Amino acid sequence: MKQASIIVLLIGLFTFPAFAQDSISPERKQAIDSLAMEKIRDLEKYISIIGSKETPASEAHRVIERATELFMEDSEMGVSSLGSDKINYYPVREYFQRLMALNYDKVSISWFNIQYISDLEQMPDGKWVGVITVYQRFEGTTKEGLKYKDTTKKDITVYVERKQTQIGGRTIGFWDVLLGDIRVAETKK
Amino acid sequence: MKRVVRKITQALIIGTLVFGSATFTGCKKKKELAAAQAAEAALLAEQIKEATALLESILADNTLDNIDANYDKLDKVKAMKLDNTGVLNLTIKAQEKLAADKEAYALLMEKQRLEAEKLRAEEAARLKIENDVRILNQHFEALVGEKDFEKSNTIITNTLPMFANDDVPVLVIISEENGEKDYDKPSTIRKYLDYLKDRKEYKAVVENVVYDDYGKITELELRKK
Repeated sequence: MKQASIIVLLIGLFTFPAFAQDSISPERKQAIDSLAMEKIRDLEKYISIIGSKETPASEAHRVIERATELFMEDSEMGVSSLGSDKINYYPVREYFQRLMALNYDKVSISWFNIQYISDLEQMPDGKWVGVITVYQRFEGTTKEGLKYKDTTKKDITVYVERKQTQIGGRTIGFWDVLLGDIRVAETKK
Repeated sequence: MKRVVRKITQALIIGTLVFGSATFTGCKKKKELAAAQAAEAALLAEQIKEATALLESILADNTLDNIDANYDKLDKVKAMKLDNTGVLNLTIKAQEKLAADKEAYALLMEKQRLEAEKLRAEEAARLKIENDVRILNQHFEALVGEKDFEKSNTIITNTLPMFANDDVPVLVIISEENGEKDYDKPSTIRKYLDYLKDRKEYKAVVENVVYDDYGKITELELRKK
């Protein structure tokens, strides 16, 4: 009886994590990785539109809403500049509004070398968490023709959670990808 | 006396002749009558045989292809006006069978009509989906290729009337395994069109379209390429 209890206890100890972590196939994992990466590319595009001086204000405000929806609540964006070692963190909505109001005549923002530096891993609560790094090239030109340029390496935390919702009377499962804080890792010319 | 005997003899001869003649004529008529009756009986038997064969052929017909011809056969039998129990019984059976056949045929025709109608409706629905998918793809591609915000918004304005409202759900399948679909977070058609306008990229195909009774789209399912 005592031996049987020990066996049951050991089985319980070794199988418990399986309740929190659903195993998924490599193909599904690949699809989630791609989806998270796509949200990063969406953000890149939104930042580019918000920052561009050619974007009508009404469109920029609309895009700010869409961009903000990509983030978890209370997420912050790090902002750096070549002239200072200080990194300021702003709530993402405020960051976008500041970006829209930048005092340049022309602004160009692009991202490159976008990649996972920490693969999506499943946490005990079932959520998946990973970190994607991007390099952001910023170029602002003043009315007088002065140019400011920098390249910033940014780390973006990505959270992916499996959720369900009702559509047309049926339950569908979807992956909710949300971005967390964006940390500045490095700023250079 | 002689005269009397002669008269009696004459009378006897005449009587014999008259009687004999009458007897001969009666015999002849009887024979003719018998012959006529025999012929009539033979004709009746032939008619009964023919009627029975016609009625049995009606009863033996397991198809619904000859209902009119079988009714003609039945009318032919009825026209014979045969007072024969066997024929009458078969006639009742044939009548019942043909009535049942007629009903079954009507049901079959109705079923075929409904099936044809269903096929026509399905074909019309298929053509509508095909046409709408083509138009949607054209609008999506145009939106992705349009750099001007105003022109993009015009494309969106022209696309939205295809949908029941701006909040119609748009589902994007990102993967599928064992019949289980994984979706991106559900969006709305308004947001999806804005997304295409901003993102300048359409990497999906229309997987399914759901309509309401007015032919407006109430759900759009896409599959990521």
